[in-house]
Amino acid sequence: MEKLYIFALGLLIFSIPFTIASYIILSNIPLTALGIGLMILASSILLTPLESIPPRAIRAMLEGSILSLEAILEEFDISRRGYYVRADDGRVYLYVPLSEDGGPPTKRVEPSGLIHEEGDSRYLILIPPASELIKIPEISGMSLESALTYMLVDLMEVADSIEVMSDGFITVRLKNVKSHVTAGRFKSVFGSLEASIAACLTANLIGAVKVSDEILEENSKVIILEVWEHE
Amino acid sequence: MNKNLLFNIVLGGMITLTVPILGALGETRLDAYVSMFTLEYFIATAILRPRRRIKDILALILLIIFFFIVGVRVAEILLT
Repeated sequence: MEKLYIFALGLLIFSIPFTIASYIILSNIPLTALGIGLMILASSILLTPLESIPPRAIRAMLEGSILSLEAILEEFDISRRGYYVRADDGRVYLYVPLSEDGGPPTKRVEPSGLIHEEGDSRYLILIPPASELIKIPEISGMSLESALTYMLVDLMEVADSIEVMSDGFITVRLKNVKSHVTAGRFKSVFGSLEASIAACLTANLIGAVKVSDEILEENSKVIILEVWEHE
Repeated sequence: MNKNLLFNIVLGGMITLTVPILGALGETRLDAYVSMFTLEYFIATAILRPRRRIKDILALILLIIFFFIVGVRVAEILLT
């Protein structure tokens, strides 16, 4: 057992008789309250996980997964911007137009295989790095802004803070972005890592999303998402 | 700094400040102290959002105690 847990357990064991003695024998309310406070603190320490995955490690894992996608995009010589679409299986897929860009697929179907055809349009289907991450129960029921804050600020520490505005397009402003991925094809198809995560989350809530633009400003980055609502 | 550790430091600091402050003000109602601890716990949780190994049973226990205290106070007012 870690030292901190031993300390917390010791504190808890000490605080219980201390509280009882303060109340019954000494009849001293502030000391009794101190004992209760120590019990709360000890319980809080015992409930806290000692080893959580550092945000840097989560970021590194996602950045690592980008490299294999970059290789696929290089191999197929693809550089068109893709559409993040939520499928019937609850997962978000990226539909990359292979011929001319005719907009996102209109039907929300569970994709089978790498190629999806709809009318004259053909799409390459890829799974974005954050497609499984957005299914974690912690963000279920959250608003888009809360979910983005949890994902990008709390979990991955990609940015210091987030602001979401909606006016037809969804604009996400990130302060002090820390992710620096140099994969060029990935950026042109998926958008940057933070834009890809934002698009994934938005698609999961709304339906279909395209990273329309990314603007770098002083100490902040603005991601503009174009959205299409699916039934 | 790890926000889980920061949460426990902040909570410890708030609790150890609350007791002498309320004590110096001559507060002798135990429920006033416990209500303050509950409030501080939820404020620190809302701001720092610490991770938990299991469900936050401490928050649940504090909330139940807080509602009990409030219920007793309301009953006292209504019955007197």
